[in-house]
Amino acid sequence: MAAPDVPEGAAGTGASDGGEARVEARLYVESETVQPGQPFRLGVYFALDRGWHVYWRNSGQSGIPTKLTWEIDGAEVGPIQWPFPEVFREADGFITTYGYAHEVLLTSEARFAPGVSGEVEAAVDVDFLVCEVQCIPGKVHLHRTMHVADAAALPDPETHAFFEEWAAKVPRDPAVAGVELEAVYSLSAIRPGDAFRAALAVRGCDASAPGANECADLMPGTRDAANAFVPDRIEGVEIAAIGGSKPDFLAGGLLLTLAGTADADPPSAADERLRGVLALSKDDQPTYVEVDLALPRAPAGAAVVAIESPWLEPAALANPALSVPLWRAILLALAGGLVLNLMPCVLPVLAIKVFSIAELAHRAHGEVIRHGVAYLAGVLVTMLVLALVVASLRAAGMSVGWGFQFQEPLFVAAVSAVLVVFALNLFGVFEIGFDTTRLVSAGAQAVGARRSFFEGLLAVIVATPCSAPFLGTAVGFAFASPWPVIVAIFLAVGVGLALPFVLVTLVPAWARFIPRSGAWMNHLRAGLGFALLATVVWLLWVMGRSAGTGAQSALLAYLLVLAAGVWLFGVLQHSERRGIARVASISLLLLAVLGLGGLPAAEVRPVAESTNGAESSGARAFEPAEIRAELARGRPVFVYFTADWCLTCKVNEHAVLSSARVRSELARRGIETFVGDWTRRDERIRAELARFGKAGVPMYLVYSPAAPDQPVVLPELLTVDMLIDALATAAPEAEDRT
Amino acid sequence: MMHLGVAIFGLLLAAAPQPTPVGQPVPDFTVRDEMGTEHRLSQYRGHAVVLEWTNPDCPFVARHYEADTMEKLAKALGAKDVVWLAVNSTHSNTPADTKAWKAEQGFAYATLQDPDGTLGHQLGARTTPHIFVIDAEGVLRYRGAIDDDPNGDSAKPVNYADASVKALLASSTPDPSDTKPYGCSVKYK
Repeated sequence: MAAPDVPEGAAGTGASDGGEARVEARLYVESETVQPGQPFRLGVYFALDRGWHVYWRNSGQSGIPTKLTWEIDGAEVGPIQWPFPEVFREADGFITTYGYAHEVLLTSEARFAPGVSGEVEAAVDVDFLVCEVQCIPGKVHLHRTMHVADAAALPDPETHAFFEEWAAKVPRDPAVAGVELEAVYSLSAIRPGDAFRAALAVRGCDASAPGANECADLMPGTRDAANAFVPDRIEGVEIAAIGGSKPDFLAGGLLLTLAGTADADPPSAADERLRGVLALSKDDQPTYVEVDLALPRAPAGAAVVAIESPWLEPAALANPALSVPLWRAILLALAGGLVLNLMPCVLPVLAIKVFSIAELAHRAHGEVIRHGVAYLAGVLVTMLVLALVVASLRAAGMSVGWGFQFQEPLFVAAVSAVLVVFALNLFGVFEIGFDTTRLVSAGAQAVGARRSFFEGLLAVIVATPCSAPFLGTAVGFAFASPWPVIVAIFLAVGVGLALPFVLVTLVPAWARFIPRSGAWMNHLRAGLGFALLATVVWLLWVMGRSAGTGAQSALLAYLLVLAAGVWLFGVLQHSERRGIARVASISLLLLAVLGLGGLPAAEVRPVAESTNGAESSGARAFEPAEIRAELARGRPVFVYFTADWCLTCKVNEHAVLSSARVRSELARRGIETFVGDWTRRDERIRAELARFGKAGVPMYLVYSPAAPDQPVVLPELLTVDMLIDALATAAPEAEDRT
Repeated sequence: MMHLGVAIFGLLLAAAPQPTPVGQPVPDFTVRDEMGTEHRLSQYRGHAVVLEWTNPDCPFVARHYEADTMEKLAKALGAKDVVWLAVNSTHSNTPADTKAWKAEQGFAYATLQDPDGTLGHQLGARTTPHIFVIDAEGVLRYRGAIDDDPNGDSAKPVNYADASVKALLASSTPDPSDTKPYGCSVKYK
């Protein structure tokens, strides 16, 4: 709202800049007439030229706090109620200041002593520094007449609303705002010269509410989240916000990471506190809170304990996934799904689709479209199931990543079984369809559509272990969102994945390029069957590495029995007697499920230590502390995240990471390599992927010791040149610099 | 319990080298003054050194030079073998500008020319004026405001630069050793 008018004398200008005043100041009282002994509000309003700002109670690394000196006979005036300030950064962030641009109302509560009455002059000296690029100190004297009388007078509604508007921006006591604050420090006490980290946990839980889980959803209340916490000055200690996160263990709350350094000289004041103000969005309501927490200090040489807490884990990197609006995340998901069709992971399914297309080439167009729709439905239904599984696992307190299902040996076994059955189908051992009569009556269409649905399911299952360009951001976004968003994003990925085939079915012209079906079709069918079996070989390898040779053998035995069962089913399928066929199909299903259920007895005995990639390349296992230590020693670091079940990862490792050029470059530049193996569930690796907005492997990070908190993230589809460029930037040699 | 952590933001602090904290030795530096003469910190070993960040265009600097705060203090401390150096990190400042200003104000001490801000970033100079007192062993002992009077309305301001040097000459550590500097921000490039 516009600032109300004030009488003459209560408005003035200051900070003359070549004759042009940069600041207009006005003195406001909430009510012209006040009662003695009763509190009332008064304040000074600043209207600033565009680009200029005045300062908060802590002006930051430069500037001067705005000062109000009141002179009102017979009245006591309380401290300034400072609205939450803006953060200004100069010289690339080297100079950070806190203050107000455009306008601000600085208010105080005042009270006349009992016995005062009549007309009283309220005067204030306003001292301020106003800066744009240059700074101009200003001084304004304002005054106006007030009436002190015992008769109650209602404040002017416009002025009252003006005060209320600004009061809403003044930080309040946390208890009043319904917010709990807690600080954890990386040291039990901070000695002179110590560098430390602090985590400020902010929760919006109502402890008094029945059912302890009444917690508000908190988000930073400033556009740039780094500006949500504005610290007061602590003598001899510099505090800066370095990161913020929203971890599950805070139940909707926020965790702000702060970094501090204490001067080497002992502090002159002993009773130091961590003070500041915090801007929050609490259940979408702007909320401002005063922070006042203990800051433990200790004298030089005192024994202190380093504190390890998950709160202090550096979550310092921006999550690229969350800076994306929902519609863009959905577009990215769509694009990611499309690109998945080109990733090595999906090749087996692509083979099947190629066959389907060939088979459908000369069918009626309507039937072809039905296949397209069935395939789309298969993909979407599977994606929906996957999304709901992810959402419910998360609701149960588990966290998962993209492709998590392959970390479950049982799932690997199930996919192997499905692929074997499919291969046998391609070999012509049996036909898909449980009811031979229906097969005849409905023609081949129903069966074909069912198979297309099934192919959609298979495409999703086989495609999911790989992350792909675009997909990482989209899925990372989904995993950090409520369940409807997870569903929406997963469905968008599904649409993208199914799109190429669906498009093909919509355009009848393509059929012209495919020869009439004949004997070649049967050969293609068999060939693709072998391609599927090759995929099973890969899955067996995954199984062997993650659960040991015992599990691998058990799975092989199971697949053998399953294959025999399928063959028997195929024989009976063509029997005249429907009863036998039905019994055969039911017992086959039972066999498949029971057999799978019996598998765990034989496996889930993980091999001792994962050695993914380590044996060949001399890479060390992912260990954040060791990475930090290497960087502190000035050595560049390359970290890659992989999993046995991720074909994209394996392709990159063989084509790029194991290439002679890359290996010699790593050795020549003295780059330490670490590998994070996500074949089995690993919470630390999942968290590290999430830190970069990724939900799955592969991920490639190149750290330069010059910027140990800001690694370069390379794309999922790696090339040798790309990697070598990144390594050269991170570890420049003398000849590179010149 | 496993958790789904979501990073909201991150700033990079570690990437930039941190300025020298109070109580730590100041890394040696060599900077030329307005006459082109080199000043190396280590050449003043054995003397306390006061560095005064300055910018004639800043009203706070102008106020102190009108009152001769720096000039008088530099002269008084110079008599006690204390080295006083002004530093100008304003990106647009030239030696000719400094010479003109020096002639106008009539002070004697050299003004180090730091237009690329290297020395300013190394010591963490953020305002003009901003005072750094380095002891005879090259350790930073005081960092902050010239005095306790940002608004220039105190009848008896306490001069921190003077107090810090006197503490060092008396073989004790300055108290306060770290005050909030006031004034204009340094106009780095």
